[in-house]
Amino acid sequence: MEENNQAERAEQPFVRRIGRILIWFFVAMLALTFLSRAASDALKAKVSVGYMSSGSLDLSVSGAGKWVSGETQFFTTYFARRISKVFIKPGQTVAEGDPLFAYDVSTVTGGKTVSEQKLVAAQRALEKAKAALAKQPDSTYAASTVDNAEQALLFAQFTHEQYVALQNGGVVRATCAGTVVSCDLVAGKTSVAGTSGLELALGTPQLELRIPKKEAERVAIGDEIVLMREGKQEDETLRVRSISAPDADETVTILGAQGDTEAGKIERKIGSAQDWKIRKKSGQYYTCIPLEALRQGGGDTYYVYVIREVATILGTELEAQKVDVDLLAHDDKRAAVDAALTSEDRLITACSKEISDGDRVVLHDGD
Amino acid sequence: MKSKRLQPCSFVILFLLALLVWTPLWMLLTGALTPTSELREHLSGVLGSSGELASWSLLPNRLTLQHVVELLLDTPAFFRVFWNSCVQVLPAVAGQVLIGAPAAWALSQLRFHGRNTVFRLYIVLMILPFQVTMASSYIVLNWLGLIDSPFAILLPAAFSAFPVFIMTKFFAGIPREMLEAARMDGASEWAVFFKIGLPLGLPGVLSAALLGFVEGWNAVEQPITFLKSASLTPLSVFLPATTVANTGVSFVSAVIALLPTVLIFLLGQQYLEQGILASGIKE
Repeated sequence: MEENNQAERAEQPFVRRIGRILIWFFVAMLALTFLSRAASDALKAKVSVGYMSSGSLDLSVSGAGKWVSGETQFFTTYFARRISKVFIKPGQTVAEGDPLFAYDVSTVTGGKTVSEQKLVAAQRALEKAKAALAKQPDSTYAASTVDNAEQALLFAQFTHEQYVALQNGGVVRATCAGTVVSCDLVAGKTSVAGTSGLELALGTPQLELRIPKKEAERVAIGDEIVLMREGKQEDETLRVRSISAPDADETVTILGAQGDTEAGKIERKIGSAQDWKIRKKSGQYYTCIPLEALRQGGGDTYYVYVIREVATILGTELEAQKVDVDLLAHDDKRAAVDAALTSEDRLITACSKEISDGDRVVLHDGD
Repeated sequence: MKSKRLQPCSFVILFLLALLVWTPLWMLLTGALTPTSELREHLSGVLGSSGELASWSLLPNRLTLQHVVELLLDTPAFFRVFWNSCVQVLPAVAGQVLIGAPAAWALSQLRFHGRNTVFRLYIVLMILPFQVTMASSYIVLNWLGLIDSPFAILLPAAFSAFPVFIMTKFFAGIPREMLEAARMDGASEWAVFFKIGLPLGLPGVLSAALLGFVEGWNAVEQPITFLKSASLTPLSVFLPATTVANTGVSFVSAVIALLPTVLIFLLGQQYLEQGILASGIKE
């Protein structure tokens, strides 16, 4: 009996030690649970995912352009006389009949006979050219003859107007509508006959777009240019009228002129800036992926990381697997690729740290 | 009492037998510290598809803590599985004591009509293997809406017949005279149970609790049958899922899973022995 008690007493410290070890074991497991989570957060990349889909790419081009004058005509003074007043300044829009400038008429002599004869001659020349064009509508020569005749007529009309002005107080008025591009007449100075005058842009202003050659490849003559105001699209549009060859900077100049819609809220002041957009859609692609998922290897090689589920002893782990792709085209948001991907593949679009093939990852909470 | 000195021949035989018993444990411990490449060489035959035999060296060529670090610092899922086991086992053991001890006291000390029949029913339930009661248990748990929840493991374990059987044996060993004396002094039945029965029958209660813990910690069939979500899976179910790629981690997790059982055994070794003797079973 005494021996048994002694044996029990000897066992007590051992049992207590084991009890303490057991408690410490569970405490350690609890601490390691938190540590493991923290380490996992620190070591494993947190990733966001996206999915492939089929569809077309948005190949729209946009930017800021500048309003420029379209066809211009230089109207020169016919007389060498002192200019008493100038009513216009560059950029100003004038209608037919608006005052442009005034001659000093204090010493006027002569009449308007000569100018009337010139005007009648110009009108006859224009009618003759138009008749020739009607007979040969495809003739470039006939069309240029008409253009020249129209210019001659405008010039004759302006000369006639100056004769008329001298007889009626000296105020010269616009013989056609347009926008003043430049004017070298100065009040108080004498005009130089046949040299000094003003340049008038006829018709509505054009929009000049300067874009990189690569983007210009998507644009064609006749494409619709949507005008923007304060980042929002307006109902006003233009049409692409000309596309220049690339310059030394690999930049192409595109001119947009009046399209199918009337001018509206947007002020088309020559020299002012204008936001624009040319909407373009690509053909259908079977595999379009988020652009963020596309990664560039060396040279022109591209790849994506796809999340694969790997069965491990402690359940399913997520692993990043590298998949090579061929880039076909891309827009600002998506890329069309040729690759062995399915719509269920989770493509890594963003990750908290640099990853490589085979790395274990965790999904962001929202994914 | 003098201890007998073993004959050399008996010592050698017993030592060899002990080595045989220790071999799996040695493989477990050394495997946890062996590099993956070496483990692959040893085990690719059995874990791969080549059909060759596995090989094992007494000590690894190089010791590594790679698997330990990988498991403990880089695998939060392991801890989820570990705590799942704790959540499913510890309350079940507490339930066994809270429910089983009064039942065992009643069966051992109280005289009522049908007592022997109830006790025999307990014995029958105890000896029925899980596979026999699995379908009926599943139907009942499904009807209660407890399938795929920790209660599907907890509740059947808490109402297990085995702890009641062990504790009945221990409570039956308490001298009746002592209990009668307490009753004559005016103690109520609850007072007799709490103040005399439980302290004197504590080895039985501890023995039942320890055996219940070991049984619950190592249970495989119940979780596989009643749990569907991976988030509820306990440690015992994950350990068999070993592949060539994760053998080292598997060894480490097996060692960690082994630790609570070993510590619990050492803690209550004397009670466990008494419990096993009382129930007359060996696992």
